Amino acid sequence: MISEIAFSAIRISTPLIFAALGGLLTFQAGILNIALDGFMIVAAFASIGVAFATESLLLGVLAGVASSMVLAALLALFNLRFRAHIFIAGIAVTFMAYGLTALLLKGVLNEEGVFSSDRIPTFAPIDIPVIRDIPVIGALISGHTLLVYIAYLCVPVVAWCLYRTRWGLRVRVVGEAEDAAAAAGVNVERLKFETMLLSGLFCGLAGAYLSLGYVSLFAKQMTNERGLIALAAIFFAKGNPYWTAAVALLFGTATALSIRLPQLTGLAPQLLQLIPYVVTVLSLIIVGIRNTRARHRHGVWRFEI
Amino acid sequence: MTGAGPERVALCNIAKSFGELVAVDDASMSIRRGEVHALVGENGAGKTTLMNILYGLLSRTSGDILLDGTPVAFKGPAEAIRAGIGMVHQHFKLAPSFTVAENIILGSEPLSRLGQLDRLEADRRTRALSQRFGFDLDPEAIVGTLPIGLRQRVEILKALYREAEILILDEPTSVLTPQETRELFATMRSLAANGRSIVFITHKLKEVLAVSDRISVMRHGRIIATTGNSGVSAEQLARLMVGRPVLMRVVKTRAHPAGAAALKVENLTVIGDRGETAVADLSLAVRPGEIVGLAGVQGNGQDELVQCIAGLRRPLSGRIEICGTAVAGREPLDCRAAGLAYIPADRGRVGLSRASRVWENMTLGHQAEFARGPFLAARSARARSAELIRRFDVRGANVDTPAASLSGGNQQKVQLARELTRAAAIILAEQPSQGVDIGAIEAIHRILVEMRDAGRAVFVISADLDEIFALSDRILVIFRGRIVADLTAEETDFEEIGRFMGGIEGPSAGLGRATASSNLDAGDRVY
Repeated sequence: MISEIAFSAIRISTPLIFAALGGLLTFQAGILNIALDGFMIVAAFASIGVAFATESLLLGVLAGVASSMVLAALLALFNLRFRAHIFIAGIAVTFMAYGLTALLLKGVLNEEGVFSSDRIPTFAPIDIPVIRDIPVIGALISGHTLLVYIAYLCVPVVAWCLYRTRWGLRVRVVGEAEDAAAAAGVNVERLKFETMLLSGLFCGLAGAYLSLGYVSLFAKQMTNERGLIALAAIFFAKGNPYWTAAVALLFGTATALSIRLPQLTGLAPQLLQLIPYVVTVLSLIIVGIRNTRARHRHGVWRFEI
Repeated sequence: MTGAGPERVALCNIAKSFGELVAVDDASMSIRRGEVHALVGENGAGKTTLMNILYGLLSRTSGDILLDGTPVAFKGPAEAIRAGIGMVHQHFKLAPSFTVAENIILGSEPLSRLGQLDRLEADRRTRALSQRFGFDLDPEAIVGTLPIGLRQRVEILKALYREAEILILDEPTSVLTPQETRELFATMRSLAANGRSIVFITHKLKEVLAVSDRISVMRHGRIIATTGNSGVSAEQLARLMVGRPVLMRVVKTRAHPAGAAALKVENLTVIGDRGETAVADLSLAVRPGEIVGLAGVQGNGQDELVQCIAGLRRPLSGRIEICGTAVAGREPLDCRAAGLAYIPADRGRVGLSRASRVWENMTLGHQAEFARGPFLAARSARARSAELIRRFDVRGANVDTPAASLSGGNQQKVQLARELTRAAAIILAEQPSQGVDIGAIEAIHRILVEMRDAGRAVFVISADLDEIFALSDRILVIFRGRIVADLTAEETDFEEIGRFMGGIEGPSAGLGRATASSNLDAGDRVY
């Protein structure tokens, strides 16, 4: 039973990890990207639409990623070129994405709230030889679909890019001291644009996984504020990729528990569905306490990203 | 002083406006190889703007820049850097949580295979460069933990790492002790002797005369004179800068402190923002009728001390008494009720509401006087402001002008008018003349001296030794959160104060011999 919950926690955490990696890159560059949900919902819709039309998973995922990156470019355009406040621009882009997908759901697929079809191909579970046979862990790690593995493998890749490459150093300096980077001749705008595009890339994968890898259906607003939960994970881990992924996994585990516990305990499912949100709020309270402790100050309120 | 080399840079009729504000208006200047060229002028004269244009940070509205005779148009600092121009800004452009090496290589990083950063190479290059110029810098030190003097060296090395031939230093001495300033001047001279050109932006005229080959004076966005160093006096330069004769020092009589201390701080210990001990077991007292100056290099606990006195920060332990009332850890309102008038250094954020009008700013803290039940007697508040504008000679403003559109000096006068019209026994003035033009400095200093003569206690915190000496009857020096000296102003001098500021003399002298290297071990002072 426990291993079953753990297995589904790994699966459920996958879109959170993708989204968190996306949000983390902009976070490191000093942009609070609250449009993660918008990116994901567009990707989820484009993925399932294209997969339905072409019966190709690859094309579906690519369409999802591409659409999400287009939206990211649009947000970057609003924020970097037209100087719209990132918060307002992010909300606008998210609402636009919700509205657009709902409209296309009705207009193109002629469905009201949910779209699903037998024609949509599904990802096959991958059995990893050798690892499969390791006791306990083998059953947890083996047998997931491709995107799950990609998500977890992306964590060290992102960490390497951030902490070991020239690009990463520049991104982190831009996030901490933008004028220092500008004065050193770093093209701040371009770096921010790049992190925003990568944010789109990762959210694209998250969205594709939501509609194609997770359930094979599209529902209105199906991201369920996963983007905001991913942001909470990023804040909690202060943008460190490994810790962010770990916190995302914690949130995923909380969700897995909230799904399984009603059967086990007989408690009202509505009550247990609160678990992931309670965990999120608790973690944000911890962040808040940690910040005020460090400050030893009163009378000064600052909103720090 | 070195002879005149060939001209490297010519700025011809440069102009720059921000909206309606003309920051630089038809300024021309030339920079020669191997010279230290001082650019002096009042705050807001356009010195920094002009140099930011040369450095590519700002675009120009009109005019030409010639580099070695060729017209150039830098689109950003990257292009200026490539052309051999480096700039050290007054507010350092460093990333505090990164290492010295990372800050230095940023923008032209050494790479190993796979596009990976070559950290070892970065450290090696930083170390080599630092040794070559006689700077004592640890490549792996975190910049945020370094004292200000060393951070400045990181900035200079950053420019030298990029092989800057023309180095612009914007107000480099404002954060240094007199000893550190001398070391910096030696560095500037040796860089010039090696064929580099140094532009030295400042408003301190004594320093200009000490180090530069040529001097350009800027006023209202124009270069109004360029002269050699010999044969000019500080008074002449001051007159050029301001456009009228300037009284270089306030006239004041001897202080007659009387009665019990208006401000008493006992055994105060304060934790700073980063969890370090910013103020350590500090005690001091200011009596009515005296001006006490607190000197110290930025970041030695002054900010935290002031915030505690003003009620903006809670100390870990210790007592603060304002006119006998214990206020440590209380709210700002309690401190003010006890008799505090606070003139913060950060006018834009702590002192004034920039978007609010002058009368609103002047009425803040005086609401009780104009309260009519839940309403504000706006008309009488405005009338009072109009009167204060006259009394404190706030220029270019009426009661409805937004505070943000005033010059630094006039914003300061608005703050003074508000704070000094309260019946306060102790006046806490933080950097009162920072960012204030010379004419207004005179007025501000005179007001503070008048307050002293009226029997109030005045506590001035300033990083500027000129100001400390101009005002103080008694001088305290703070170093690493402790008072290391308590001296009578007439019996001390810049040198002695400077030694205390650098920790060379005083109780902790054992810890800090040479300012530069010893401050490196100041791991406890994380700023």
